[in-house]
Amino acid sequence: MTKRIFLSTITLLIFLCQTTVLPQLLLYRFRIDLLLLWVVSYGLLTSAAEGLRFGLLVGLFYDLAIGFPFALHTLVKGVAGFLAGILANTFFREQLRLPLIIQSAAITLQEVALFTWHFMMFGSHFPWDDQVSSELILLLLYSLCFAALIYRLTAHLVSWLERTAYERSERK
Amino acid sequence: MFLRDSRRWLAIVALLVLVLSLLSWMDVRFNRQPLLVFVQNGLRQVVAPLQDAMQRTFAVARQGIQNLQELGELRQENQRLRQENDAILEQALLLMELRAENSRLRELLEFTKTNVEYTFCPALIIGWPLAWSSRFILNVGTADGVRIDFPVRTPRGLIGRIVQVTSNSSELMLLSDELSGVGGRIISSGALGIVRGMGSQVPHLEMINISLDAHVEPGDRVVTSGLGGNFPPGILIGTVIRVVTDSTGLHKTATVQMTEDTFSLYEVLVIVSQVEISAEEPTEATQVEP
Repeated sequence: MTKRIFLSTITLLIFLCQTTVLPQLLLYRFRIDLLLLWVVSYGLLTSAAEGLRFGLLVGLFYDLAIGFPFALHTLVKGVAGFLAGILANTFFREQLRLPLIIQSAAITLQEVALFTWHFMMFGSHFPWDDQVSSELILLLLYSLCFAALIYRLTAHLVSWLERTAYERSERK
Repeated sequence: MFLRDSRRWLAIVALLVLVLSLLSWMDVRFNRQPLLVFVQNGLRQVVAPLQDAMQRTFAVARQGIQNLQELGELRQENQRLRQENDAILEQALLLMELRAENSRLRELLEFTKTNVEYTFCPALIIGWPLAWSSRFILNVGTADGVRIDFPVRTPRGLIGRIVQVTSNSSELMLLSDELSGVGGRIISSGALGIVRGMGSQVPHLEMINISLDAHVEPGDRVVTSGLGGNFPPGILIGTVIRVVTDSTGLHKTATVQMTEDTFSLYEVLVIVSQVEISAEEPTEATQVEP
């Protein structure tokens, strides 16, 4: 229960930051998806099943809150959490390089998925060209500034949750 | 565990992808379902106030940070504006001074143009030897034609005479000096007297030895009589403000208000010569010693 409350609260806070504060802090028109970074970090630190479940819930929340079309972010975040979770327990939590690479891959995956989806739905309105590619690179660079922070915070939180759960089980 | 159940998991994910993609496609192609709209609206009603609060908090924090950032700039700007203000004030004062000087010089010029019977040597007061002194140093001397006893005036009237002179400077003794004395005449009655100074700290002159029979009253104007030879006749000295009979009972004594406030003098005119104006040719002039 404690875990769910904490995860929900932090998800809500990240969502609020992402939709209110962050757009005013960033340059140009980049919209960094902190929730995706959060889901990927959580998946990396737990498991594929946990990552999938968490990604689906966070994506659903995002879709219901501001997403259009419905279920697109649920899909992307769910898959991203699942794929990240596959790599859980294959590296030390203190490492930062692999999480950053995975997060970059997740961002790219999301952008490609969103682009593909738009292209399929709206046809030639969203051609993938050099501009889109260069924007993706800039978005990756921007996102990586936050990725390390989100991963570190998630690592601390997951460790704390695991410790709490262990202590409870010991008490029982 | 994942590898063990990988097929099952992959099947679940693939199914999810399919279902969610379909849902997404349906959301775009068909009208949004009322149930979904209801759920979305419900969630947004909860989230919106939080977003609003977050936005406001951030706006306040941002404004605070901006204010702090601008504080240094404002301080610098304030300093710069102060300096600019000082410079502008200085310029304004200079301008006012120049304007006043210009006005005075214009007045002097106008006076010299309209008083062609005299030849003037314009002079600038360059020194006040003592506080409350009735002696000023002028920037003209013998090289400019100035000699001892030459009268000095302003457009408003007589103010004194030269008592000492060098090649490039001269000392002006004001009428208010205790040693100053000049023959005076009251215009209205023609009564004569001697106008003498009462010291630099007394702003008035004293006209003594006025005949007891002479009709003198406050408001009468006093001019130089021309007697004695040092001062040409008809130059305004001042205005009578009070008349009394002296202690001997033989003469009247008038207190005369000078025409010029000698404490605010800057430029004066030294009368270096008097020109005789011919009736036939008013512009043709000859110079005589005053």
